[in-house]
Amino acid sequence: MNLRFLTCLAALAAVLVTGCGERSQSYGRVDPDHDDVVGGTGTESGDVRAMCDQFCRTILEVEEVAGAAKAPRVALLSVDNRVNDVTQRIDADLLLTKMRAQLNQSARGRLRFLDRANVDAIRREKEAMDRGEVTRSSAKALSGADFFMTGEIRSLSKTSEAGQSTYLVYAFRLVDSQSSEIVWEDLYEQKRVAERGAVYR
Amino acid sequence: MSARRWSCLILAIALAGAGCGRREPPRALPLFHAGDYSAAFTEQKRRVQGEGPERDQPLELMRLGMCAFEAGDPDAAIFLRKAVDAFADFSRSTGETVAGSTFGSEASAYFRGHPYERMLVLAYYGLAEYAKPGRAAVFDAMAGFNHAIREDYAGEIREAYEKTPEGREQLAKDPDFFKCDSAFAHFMVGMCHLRVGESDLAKAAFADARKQAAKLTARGYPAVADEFFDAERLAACNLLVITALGRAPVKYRVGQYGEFCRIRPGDTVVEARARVSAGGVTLDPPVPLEDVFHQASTRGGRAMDAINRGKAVFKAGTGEAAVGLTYVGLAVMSSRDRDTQAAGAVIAGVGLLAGALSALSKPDADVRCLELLPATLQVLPARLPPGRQDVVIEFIDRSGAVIPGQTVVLRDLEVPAEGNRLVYVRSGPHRAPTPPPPIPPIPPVPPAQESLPGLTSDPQLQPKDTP
Repeated sequence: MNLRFLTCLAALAAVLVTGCGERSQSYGRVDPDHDDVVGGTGTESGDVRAMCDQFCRTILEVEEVAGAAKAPRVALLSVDNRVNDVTQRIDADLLLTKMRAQLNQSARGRLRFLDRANVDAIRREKEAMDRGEVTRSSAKALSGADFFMTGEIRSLSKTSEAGQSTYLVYAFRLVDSQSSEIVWEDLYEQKRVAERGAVYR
Repeated sequence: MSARRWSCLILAIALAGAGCGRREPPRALPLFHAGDYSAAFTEQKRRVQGEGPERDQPLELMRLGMCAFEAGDPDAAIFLRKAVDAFADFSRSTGETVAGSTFGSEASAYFRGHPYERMLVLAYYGLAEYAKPGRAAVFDAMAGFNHAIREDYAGEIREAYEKTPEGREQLAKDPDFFKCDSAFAHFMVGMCHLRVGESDLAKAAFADARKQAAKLTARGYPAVADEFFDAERLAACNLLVITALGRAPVKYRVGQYGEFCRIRPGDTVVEARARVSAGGVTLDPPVPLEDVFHQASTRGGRAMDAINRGKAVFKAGTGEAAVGLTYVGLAVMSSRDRDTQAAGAVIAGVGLLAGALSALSKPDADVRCLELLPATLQVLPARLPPGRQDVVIEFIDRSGAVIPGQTVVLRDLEVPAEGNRLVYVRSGPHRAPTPPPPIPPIPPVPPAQESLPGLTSDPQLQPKDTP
């Protein structure tokens, strides 16, 4: 066999072998405010940021917060994630955590959050202080919550052979822990669609 | 180039092409069907972690999720969720163009499964979440069952039916014809609502379940008493036994070139029903709420069937043309006139080309399927005296005899006074499963402030302008 033929054969084999299942990959940092190329009908990072910005802005305008003589104390309750589409189910705690962090930054002491997730550790530490096993700078009672922050996520999903659409409503509220009054509530809505190719219909 | 070199080249192309994406069948399948779910799970995990074509990834993840569920893995819900994410990922269209083209096989497309496969994977995800304690898990479970219901809705067939008088007649007879007919999914949605204290929504879901269960009765299953779906009775139940019987339906090809996908009931369906006894007392028989073959075979046509039919017509047409043209070409080539011989060679060449095109076209239907589903799901909600007791689940064949080697004995199963105990058992040769722990009742929300003793309330909190 001559050299040209062997070269052709090798080139052909290389093209065929490299064509098997290989995908081009690229990595990089992207702006979290913009939709990424991955797609889907789910909640994007941009939605989370826009939602939390909106909620934090409006919560600080509420009279019970803005006009309180002393910074109200807020405990987080779990969010009822009632999204009926398995692929759209966002980690609801992500929203609460982001709102808490953002409010702690921007409220400048006008709201105080209680760490109920670690209440057992706090109580153990307090008991150790009471027994004199560890030192304490000042005596404090475990704080009760003046308000609960909670929320609900609901969805309306449609599926047909052409694709799917999902309408999501995020509703968060601040509830007076004594009177059960809702002193603040805000909504964020989003709707996304994704098309399905003919082969998958 | 000599003929030998050309032969080498063609052989190299054929070998390289054949090597692309071919994979051995999963070793987990025989292990799973032999009842060794843990080994099947380990094997399937290894397979998913290994290199494989992207187009099969959702199917492999579905298998992994099913293996994890049957093995009682605590992360079964996570694996099933990954499978759902994979088949529902519309951003992936791997092989779709190829599959839709004349020379590509449907099986080269990214696997999304048939609606019954997607629906049941979602239902199993719901079950995996349902077994967990807590309010959040109930909403996860509810999402799984509701998503399953939506996945089983055949809106496009409804549109097609609305265009013909016969179709409209069918719709008038049964307006819910195209809605999800899974009594199991509706029933479990109701059970989820009950767990979070939403009795009205539970009643609505049980009403839907009863309607769909009646359709199963029309197919020869025993009639289900209305009391079975009574929300108050179900709310009082502290044991929920779900039995999965038989094997999944099987897809196969028919047509001259295997261009149509058809579905038949799974192999070795000998288990007709289950019998459950607790503390030596036989309980009411579990009620069939899901017939997977019925789910699989009542969907109607797919868009891909028409595409495959077109490919088959092309293959047949080019094949016949190839034979005719080659025959004519060879006949013409036998002439003594050189010009006529040349014309014959051209005709024969076109015939050979048509033959090559015919050989290359791939109208065969995609028969990849999730083999790990059961044939039916049967449900028994019961109220038992709280405490520890032996629960025995036997599988009965069509003649009424207990199938040897399939009986499961759950010794000292703790049945809670309040809350729920989910027991899921699959028929077949297997070791006794370990059911998840009892599911405690869910407290009302928001939790009382008094639940954290020692808390103080600030009297200075009241806003300045609030009366």
